[in-house]
Amino acid sequence: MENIFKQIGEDAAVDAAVTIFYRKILKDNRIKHFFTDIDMKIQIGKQKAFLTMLFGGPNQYTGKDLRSGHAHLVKRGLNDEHFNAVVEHLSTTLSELKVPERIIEQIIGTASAARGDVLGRT
Amino acid sequence: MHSVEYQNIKYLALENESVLETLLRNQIEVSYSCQSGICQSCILRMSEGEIPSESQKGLSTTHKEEKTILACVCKPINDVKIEQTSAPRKIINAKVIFKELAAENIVILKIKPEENFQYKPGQFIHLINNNFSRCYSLASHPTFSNELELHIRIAPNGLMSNWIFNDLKINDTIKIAGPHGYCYYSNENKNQNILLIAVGTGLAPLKGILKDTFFNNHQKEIHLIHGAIKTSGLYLLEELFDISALNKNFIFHPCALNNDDNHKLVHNTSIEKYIEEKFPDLSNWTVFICGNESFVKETEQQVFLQGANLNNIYSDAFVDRNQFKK
Repeated sequence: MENIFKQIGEDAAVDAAVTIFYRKILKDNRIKHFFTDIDMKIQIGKQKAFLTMLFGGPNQYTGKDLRSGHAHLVKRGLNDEHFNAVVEHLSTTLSELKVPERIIEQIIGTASAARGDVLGRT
Repeated sequence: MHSVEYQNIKYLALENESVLETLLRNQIEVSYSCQSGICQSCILRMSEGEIPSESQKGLSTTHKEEKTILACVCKPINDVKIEQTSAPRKIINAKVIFKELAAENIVILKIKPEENFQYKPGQFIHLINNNFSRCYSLASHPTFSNELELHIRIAPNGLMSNWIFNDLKINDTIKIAGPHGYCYYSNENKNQNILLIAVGTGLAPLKGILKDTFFNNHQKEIHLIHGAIKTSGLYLLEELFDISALNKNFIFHPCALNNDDNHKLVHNTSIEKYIEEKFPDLSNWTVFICGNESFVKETEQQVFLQGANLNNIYSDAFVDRNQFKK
């Protein structure tokens, strides 16, 4: 995969993206209850790490992390509908940041591949 | 080659190796995630050594001043000493100077350290009594007084607070350690309006920060919202109105869910609603939030959604130890 991380402006792009992305999530009635009782700054750190990975930046985020990190949410009912909502917000966030369509598709492809791990499927 | 000291043991850093890599290679358990200086999972403190500027990229000004680093992107320039940000500091004695009940369940305590004690207004210290210690924020300002002012909520079954309330006397000696914390005013905030939001004794650090905005001659607006369940819990009401009368750019907004004293100047509303109505756009504001943990979490999200930039939100959550007791 070509290095999107460098192309779209490295850390600055991740910072801008996470701010827009996280505001969208906190405003979405379908999913905000998964986020309201946690420490915002720690959560944003994780979001940044995740976006850095999606953008192809240097990262060690693994499927195992995603699986164990979301297990407690799966118990609380996390399902495909919620996953789709997050992917939707990611996509519109990147559009708002004027990331080229071709690159957005690539990023959404990588994010969608995490579905099984996030939802704890075997 | 440089050495990396951690918990009193020196490790040799390999060429081009980050502090995180050195620690991990030596089987030291530290938290980390992205390994690219972004997620801030691996924040540590470099108490000794020259701090490479790239290792502080993206950290708040106050984190930088407290010598925190991102270990994954920190390549030592000379021999360094690394510690957890919460590592204990030197313990010193302090003498009790003043103790008074400010509200039904709040004690204001003033203590005088027996040696030089440097801190930023808004930071917190540990009070230590034999085998237990608790954190309390500083409401005082080092330039205006050599006494430390603490606001102590007497928690039901609270070991420390009840000991302070029942047993501690004027002229007693108490042990303290610190300071800790990143919730304080810095020059970075100079050109922004300031919104201070507190519930209960969350007012203590914000009183310290308020004094610091005056000390730094802050020119933009300064607003302080203090919330309590009852008006009688707004324990510095008159003092803050007096300060506000003397400072043109400072406005005090007391809020109580139950205005039991029918005080004319107290807003009979929740802080959440009040912020939503009076401060709809916080995009050019620096916001400080202190109080109990759930209040701080909710309010951080609220001000973020109302436009506050992540780097301009400072907070300090008071954790109630008793809730963890089984």
